[in-house]
Amino acid sequence: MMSLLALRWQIYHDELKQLIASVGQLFTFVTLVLYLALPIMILMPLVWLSIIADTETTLQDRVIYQWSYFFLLFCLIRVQRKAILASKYQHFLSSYSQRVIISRTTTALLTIVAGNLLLLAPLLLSFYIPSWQVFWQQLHFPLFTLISWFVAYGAINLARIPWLSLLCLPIVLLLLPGEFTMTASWLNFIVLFVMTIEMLIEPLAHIKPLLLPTKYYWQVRLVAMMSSPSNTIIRLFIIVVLLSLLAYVQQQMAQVSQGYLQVLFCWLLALLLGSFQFDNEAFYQQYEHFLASLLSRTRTRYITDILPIITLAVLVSIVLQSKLGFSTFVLILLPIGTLITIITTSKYQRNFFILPSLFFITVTMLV
Amino acid sequence: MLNLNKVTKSYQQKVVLQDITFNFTEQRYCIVGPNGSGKTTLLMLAAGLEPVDCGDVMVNQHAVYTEEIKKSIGVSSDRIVLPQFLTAKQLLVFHCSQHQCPYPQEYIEKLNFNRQLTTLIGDLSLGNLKKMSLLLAISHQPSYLLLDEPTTGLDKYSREWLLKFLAGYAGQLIVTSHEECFVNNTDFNQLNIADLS
Repeated sequence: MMSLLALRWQIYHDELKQLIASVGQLFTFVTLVLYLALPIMILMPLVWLSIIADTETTLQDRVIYQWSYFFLLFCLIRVQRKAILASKYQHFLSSYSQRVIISRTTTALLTIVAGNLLLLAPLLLSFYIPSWQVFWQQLHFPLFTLISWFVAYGAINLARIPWLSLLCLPIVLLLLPGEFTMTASWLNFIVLFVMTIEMLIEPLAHIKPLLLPTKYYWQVRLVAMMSSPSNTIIRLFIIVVLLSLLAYVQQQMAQVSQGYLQVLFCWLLALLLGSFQFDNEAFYQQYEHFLASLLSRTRTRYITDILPIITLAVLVSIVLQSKLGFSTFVLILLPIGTLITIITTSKYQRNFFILPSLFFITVTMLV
Repeated sequence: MLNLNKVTKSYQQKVVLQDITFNFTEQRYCIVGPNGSGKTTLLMLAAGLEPVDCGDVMVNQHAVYTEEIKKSIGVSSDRIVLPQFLTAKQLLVFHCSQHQCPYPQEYIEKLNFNRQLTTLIGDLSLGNLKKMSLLLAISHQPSYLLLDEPTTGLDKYSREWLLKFLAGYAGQLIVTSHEECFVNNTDFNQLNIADLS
């Protein structure tokens, strides 16, 4: 007989497969292209942990690394929330008599699976206690671990994103004057306090959700994106990790990238950005008849939908040019590469990367 | 006047409608036929929501896909998946903005739909989803109304109001239904889909 745990695991597994399938093309591409960089990307949070554990880390660096970790953990679990809670099957599951404790334990176990390395690594490190003296000196780290588990709890149980502790608090801390100092333990005590208050009271949940206007098509698309942001978050996250990796490598090597490396990076980013079009195509497919009933032209809607992607490409190219020492040429190359990827995504679906790759190979040969 | 001229439609090589030619000259039609015979597909084609494989769908000698013609058509069908992520009110506001028509407060009240306005489309019950679909079809006062099983799932009060509304409707009305109120209604020309093919 199948136990509740086995059934929930099956549901989690199935939902996760569907989630990965929705960004499958992107994952296949990232795995192929970033084969060697993948272990670095996965182990990067562990590097962050070493910085967080270090008592010598400055307040500003601590805030940046800790909150990057919290945000990453929150996103990782939040995108899997429906799979963990088996939300789609809640009525079916409720039709069976099950003890609350078993249901909650199952949810907790699935959350640990979902958070895996990010959730377990700090916990394992916290158990390493050579002496109590060291423990008290390093108290900030067990507190950090506790906060991480709070973040995971919040990602599953809170209806809204805990903006106060995840966004407002780090901004306030970063805006503090440079001469202001605080021990790491005190910092984490404060974070823990704010987070506990937010978990218990959920002050922002009492504010009525903002009902966005829907007079125009682009507003409808904005609401659609905000109602299921997981794919967007995953793609934005990969872009941010790529840019961070690039910044890190440049900082270590203290040199501006070679021309062909710049083109290579533009190629990667153009494919990542252009793959946002997969979400648009899925939307067109799901609401085919509804969209056909609209008065606006298909082409106008298509342009409306790709405009944010092109804008994002322009913004990323500005960051590359102004902050990472890329050539001015990138301001044209990346948006064009993204546009080609968007069009090939619409036309060729799974083989979306062939034409833009040929385009970038040609550019590399010219450079 | 709505005309189908040598219309053929197939899904994955299965022909659903073949070489259909018909002029809808009367004011009211009820299309009947067994399940899966292509009634809904016919409505989708007539409303310009699906492309035909062959043939033409014309309204007053104009292709059904043009903006002007689309404005004059109201269509309700369960096959039209409405945006699950919007509330009923958000969707109605969008619809009215598209058609530049007033917000259909009167119809909302008649269909007792006020309490559902803040509910997400994805969370609406079957009956309320039908009401939502009907509101979208009628709120811009179209000249052509194409309704697929319009009374299915409606409560008694809403059903009575809808039938009264349709009885007084001045434009051309085409419904598909198995219900007595349409099938045995002499106001409607009965059209068996098998006879069209």
